[in-house]
Amino acid sequence: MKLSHLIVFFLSFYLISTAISASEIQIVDGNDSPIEGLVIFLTPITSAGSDSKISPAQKSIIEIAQLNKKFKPYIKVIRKGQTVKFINKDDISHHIYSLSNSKKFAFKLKAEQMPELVKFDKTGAVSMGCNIHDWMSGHLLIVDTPYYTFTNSTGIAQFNIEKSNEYWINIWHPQLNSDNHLQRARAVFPLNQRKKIKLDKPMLEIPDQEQIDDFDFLDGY
Amino acid sequence: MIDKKSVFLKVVSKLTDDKKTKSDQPIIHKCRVIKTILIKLLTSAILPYLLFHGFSHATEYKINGILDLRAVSNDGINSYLEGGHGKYRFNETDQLSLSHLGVDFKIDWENNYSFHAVANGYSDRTNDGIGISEAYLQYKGLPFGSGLRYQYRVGMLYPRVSMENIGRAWSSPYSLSYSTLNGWIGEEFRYLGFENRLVRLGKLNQSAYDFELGIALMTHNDPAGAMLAWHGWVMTSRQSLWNESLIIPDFPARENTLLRNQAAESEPFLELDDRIGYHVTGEVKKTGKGNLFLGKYDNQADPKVVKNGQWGWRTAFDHIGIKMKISKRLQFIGQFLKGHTLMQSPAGQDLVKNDYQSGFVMLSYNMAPHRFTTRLEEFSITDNDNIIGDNNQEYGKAATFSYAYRIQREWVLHLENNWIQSHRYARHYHHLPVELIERQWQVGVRYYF
Repeated sequence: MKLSHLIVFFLSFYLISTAISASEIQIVDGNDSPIEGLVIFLTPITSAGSDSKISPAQKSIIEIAQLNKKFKPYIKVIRKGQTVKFINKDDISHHIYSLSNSKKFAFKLKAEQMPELVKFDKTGAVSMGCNIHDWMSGHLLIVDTPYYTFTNSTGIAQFNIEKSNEYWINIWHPQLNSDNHLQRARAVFPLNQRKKIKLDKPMLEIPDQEQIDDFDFLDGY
Repeated sequence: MIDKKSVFLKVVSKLTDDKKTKSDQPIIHKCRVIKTILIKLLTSAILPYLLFHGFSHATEYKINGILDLRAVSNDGINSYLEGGHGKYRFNETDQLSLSHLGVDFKIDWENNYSFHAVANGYSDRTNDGIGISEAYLQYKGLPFGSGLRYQYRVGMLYPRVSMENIGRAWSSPYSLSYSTLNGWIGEEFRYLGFENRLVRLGKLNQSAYDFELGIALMTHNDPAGAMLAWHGWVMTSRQSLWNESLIIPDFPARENTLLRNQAAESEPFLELDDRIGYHVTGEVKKTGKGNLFLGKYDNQADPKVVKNGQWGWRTAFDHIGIKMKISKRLQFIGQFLKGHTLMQSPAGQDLVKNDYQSGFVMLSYNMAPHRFTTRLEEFSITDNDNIIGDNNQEYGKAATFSYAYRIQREWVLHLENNWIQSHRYARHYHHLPVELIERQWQVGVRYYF
């Protein structure tokens, strides 16, 4: 066996073994169908186990665009203390607001205006809208943990946690029809096997960020 | 900044001066307080506040508009705009015209206030004109945490009825000619008033539905109803300007009854009796899917009042409309309006007493850059008075097929065919057929700016 083959073999083995070691959570609805796009974030049950490491990506400025009269992306998760850059990519003005207790703000963003920077110092959910275009909506979730992700098309979220600790598994989505749009479960990580969690409440319909009239040059009549 | 301020003040003073000229006519007024309160509120309180405090906030000025050039061919009779009974705004001989130049001037302040003035110009050889069609101050607050939002407009306003006139300067992006229903709104309805809207946004309440309640109080729309009675339903794209007079077709009763006191032209935007009218609206909207809109309008005019040949017409109607996105490309709009109007002699004899209704269904298929729109309509007027020589009875159907091609973002080419079949007895007074089919082809080029 050539040396290169050996390297490939061991590298593959290493990759597969680390993949297996990732803890997997699968979220399903009442009919056992996987749900995509839910936010899953882990918070340690005891503060002793808290992990405050912040990756470079989690320090950077996050961009939320207004594009084609929609919030892009619809949902964004950020770390506490992170700054969001609101950038208007349309050729019309927007009037962005949040009425959420964790962060209230309102500003107009004209076309081609410099982006507005907003820093988020409190954890919690922030729902945003545009006062000119009522169909626009976007959501921010501010968390104080390095462990957060979205479920994929098979409803699975993966976390690489090596140090054993017990965590709350927080499932969040603005259309999750439970208190604070949140459902929780607890588990000791790393998980030995995939953990399947069924949603207690059904998901509400995700609103289309679309106006019914697909014309430009509408003047608010 | 000073220049912009002075332009703005000129617009405001023009609006108020024009109405002063009309109200300075030697007419006995019982009470002018109600009549002028809205103008005074606008000019002496709200606008100065905004001018001197609003300008200290960041201010945005915008000028947008629409230019609509048209070539038309029809086999109709003389246009209603010339005092004829033709249901289109163009005559057979008209070929090329500046069908619409609409300019929307807007000032936007950071404090949720904005000011809008819409000027329209027409050079169509049937009834050229230039003037203001809307001017108002708008407040649109941020929603409260409960999802409730209050907004108001005060000034010269359209009553919110049309679901097709949503484009620049009240144009319709669906078709060149408006439905007969909304054509009537464009011709005879505008008011000085105060429109309040309370909206409950569903997205702040875990609901897919938005609800809205609107209440408008209005003045200066007392003669509305006259043109519908005397020329019937029309398919037009001509909006009346604030100071415009509309030619009334001739009919025998104008010579030998009390209707001889009616002026030759109607001025729809007058206040004659100092009574306040109202318009109540309700709307349910599902974001991106559709909305149901209904309302009740009543100008509360005193039908016995006549000043300088202008009558108060007690005009009231109910309206309902549905807009639905059937699929990603296909949209449906249906609107229906039904009401009555009354004008009387000072002694209380009914001179004109009509019921009327008009409705349409429209499908619009958008396959960018192409759009195909079909609209079918039915309309009628029932004449309930006993005046001989003024028969307003009418029944008709109409169809519109419109194709739009978007050449560039701002440029749209339209090709449209209109067809109206109507039975209208009053045409007999002009030795025209009572039963008539009128056809029209239009090619339009629109530029949005």
